[in-house]
Amino acid sequence: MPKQLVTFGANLFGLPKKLTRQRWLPILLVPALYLTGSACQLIAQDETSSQSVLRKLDSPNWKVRYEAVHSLSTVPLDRIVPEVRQRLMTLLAAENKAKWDKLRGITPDNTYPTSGPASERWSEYYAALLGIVVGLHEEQALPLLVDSADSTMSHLNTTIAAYGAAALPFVLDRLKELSTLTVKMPGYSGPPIQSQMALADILAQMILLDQNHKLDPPLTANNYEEILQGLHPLLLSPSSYVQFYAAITLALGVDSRDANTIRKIFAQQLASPSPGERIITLQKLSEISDPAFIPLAKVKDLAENDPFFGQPLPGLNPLFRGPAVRRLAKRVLQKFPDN
Amino acid sequence: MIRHVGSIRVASLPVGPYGTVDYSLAAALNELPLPLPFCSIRIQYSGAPGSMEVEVSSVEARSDLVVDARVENEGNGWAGSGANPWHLDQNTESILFLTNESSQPARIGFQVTAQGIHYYLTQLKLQPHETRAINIRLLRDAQLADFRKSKIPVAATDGSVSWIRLDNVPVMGRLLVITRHAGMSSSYDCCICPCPNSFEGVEVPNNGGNGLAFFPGSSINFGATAVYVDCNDTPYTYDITNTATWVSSDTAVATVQAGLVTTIAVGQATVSAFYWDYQYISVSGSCSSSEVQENGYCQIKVTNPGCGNDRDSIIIEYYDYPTSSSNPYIPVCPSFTNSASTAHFSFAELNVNQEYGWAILLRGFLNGLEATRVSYNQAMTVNSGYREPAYNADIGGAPASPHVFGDAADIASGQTTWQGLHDVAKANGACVEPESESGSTHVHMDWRGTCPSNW
Repeated sequence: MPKQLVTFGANLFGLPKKLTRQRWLPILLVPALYLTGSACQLIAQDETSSQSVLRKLDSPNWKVRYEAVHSLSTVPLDRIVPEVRQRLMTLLAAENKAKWDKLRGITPDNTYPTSGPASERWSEYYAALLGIVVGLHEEQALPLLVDSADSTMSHLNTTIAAYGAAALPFVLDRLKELSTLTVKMPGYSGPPIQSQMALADILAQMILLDQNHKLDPPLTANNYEEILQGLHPLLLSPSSYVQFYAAITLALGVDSRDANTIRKIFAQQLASPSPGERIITLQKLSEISDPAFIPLAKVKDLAENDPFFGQPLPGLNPLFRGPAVRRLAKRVLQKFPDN
Repeated sequence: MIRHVGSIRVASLPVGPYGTVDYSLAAALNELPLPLPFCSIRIQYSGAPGSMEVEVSSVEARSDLVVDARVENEGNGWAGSGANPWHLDQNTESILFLTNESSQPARIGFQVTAQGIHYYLTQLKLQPHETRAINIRLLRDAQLADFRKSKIPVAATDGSVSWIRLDNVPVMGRLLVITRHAGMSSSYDCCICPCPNSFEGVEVPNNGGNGLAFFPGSSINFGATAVYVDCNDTPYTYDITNTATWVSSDTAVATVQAGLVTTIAVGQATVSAFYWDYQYISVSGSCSSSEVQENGYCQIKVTNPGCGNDRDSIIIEYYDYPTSSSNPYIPVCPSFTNSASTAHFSFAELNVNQEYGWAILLRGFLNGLEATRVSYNQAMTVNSGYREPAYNADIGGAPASPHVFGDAADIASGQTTWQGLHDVAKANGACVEPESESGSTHVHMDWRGTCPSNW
């Protein structure tokens, strides 16, 4: 049955007096839509439009705040006036607080939607807000960005890492803060392992940037010691993934005190039934320069016997090939010809 | 069930001025096949309105029970409308008798209410002097949808029925609730509104909404319904599809005749139904009327050529649930597939929970998902793949969710598997929603290309 017939029925239930009023709705909506659309064009010069965006950013309804953020996403970031920039950062701080209060189980705050598919819209809103604040390149936003980091392999982590020593105190403070925290979300209750992994990921990228002379100023010996001290407790995490991300960073920073432990963590990761996870581990190992951290016997075994060597996947574009575990393992071994 | 077993017309009964006549029906009833499950008696007075009173007495001989039912006619102040409770069970029937006492046709507003549902008859018209028996059980059991797709709940045993005349002619109505075995009949009547219903407006599909989308060359039957209210502001509706005047604002886009809209070319038009009828007020016991015109309308969007099957219905959903207010995505016929799959994912898995057998599944998504599956090397269950826009809206998805573009999947996970799935998907080019937002129960992965900064 064509869907429009169902729609007919659903739209016919108003009482007659309401119907009379509804006739005006299209006329009222037109100027409302026009105002929304025009605000973003004039944000830098038009004070009225700025005030309109500011009012929306202050709305208690996150969907209204999303409208404002969405309208700003089409504006060149250098044209956003200082007052709006400041308000965006204040808003991100408030959203982070609401999000973390919810994760901690402090508030069943209905401004932060239930997780799952129903949260996707909120998730897009939060990502859009965060994306704008990242693009503002305001150093004062650094603690906010660090508080927002809760996923590995993200663009946000790379951005924070590029701040180098300026970001380091915030990352280390955050690590300490998270060490005593328990979060609750659908399907999980326990330490905030995603955020811990994200912070370890940021520190690993910071070290790599430093080792490639991309940080100005470079990290000091004292900075390295702070990083190693901060990450060390994560080796005892109940999550093998947290252990892995901490181990990578410690190995990059050459914390030889725990070389045996770290090597075992890598060997365990290389034994994953998922060739994708073995690939990711080998990619990380290929960045480590000290062979003391590498479980060489396991890597040799993979180089010779792993069933995955990058064969084409049936039915897919030739660019999509199966995981090349053998080839990557050989590349790791080539770094250490004497071992 | 009620069967019509027969009827007897008895000879006319003259009644002198101010006279009273008792008439026993026992002899007449014996002419019908006995025993009777129940019977009804129709008394029609052929004199002037307001000048006759009749009373039917049902006598239960064994229990000495007598039930009186008064029958009154126009002129006694109540006959134009009624609202009565009905009941149905194994022994009880409810039948509404409506009589048009005039020499003109009489339109009737009619509704049955049960379990909070209002069920309308919108084409009830009595011919001059016609009596119509409406059996509430038959009406309920027929389960025919009214113009709003409503039905009387099939298990309903109690409710109310109300009616009102839409034209200023005398109409008498009476609901009989009959208990078969006890031989009892109860009759309810009520004095509600002395005047006919007042014409208030016109409804057409999507009245006042943002418009309906169709393709050129479509023919769509629109119904128009006049809305009336009685003195208690209770609405009644009457089908005016064939009697309203229909007008299209742009006949190059769509034409309309007697509610049949034919779309011609891409564009927008407004289809309106105009109707004249009366509004009534009661002044010192008599009805004062004024004739008014009202109209209902629907905005029609005529869009790209149709695909000729369920794809059209899905495309319409993209109009109803736009992905963006400024630049909404509207798929075209070749955007859809009814068979795309990968080595590890069937079409049904990728189109899980959707109403139609067509989906948008982007090639990059299929490649990325399959590569992720091979890299993960363990079974993956798709909780959500392609989403039709209406489904996406129902579950609270973002309007521009990659799911409605055929570019995303939610894969079932648990706490111990979440990070592994996340890493493998990302290594295969996916954007992955953070666990703090999706929860640990699934991993949302999509191949939109440029990921949000924290994904």
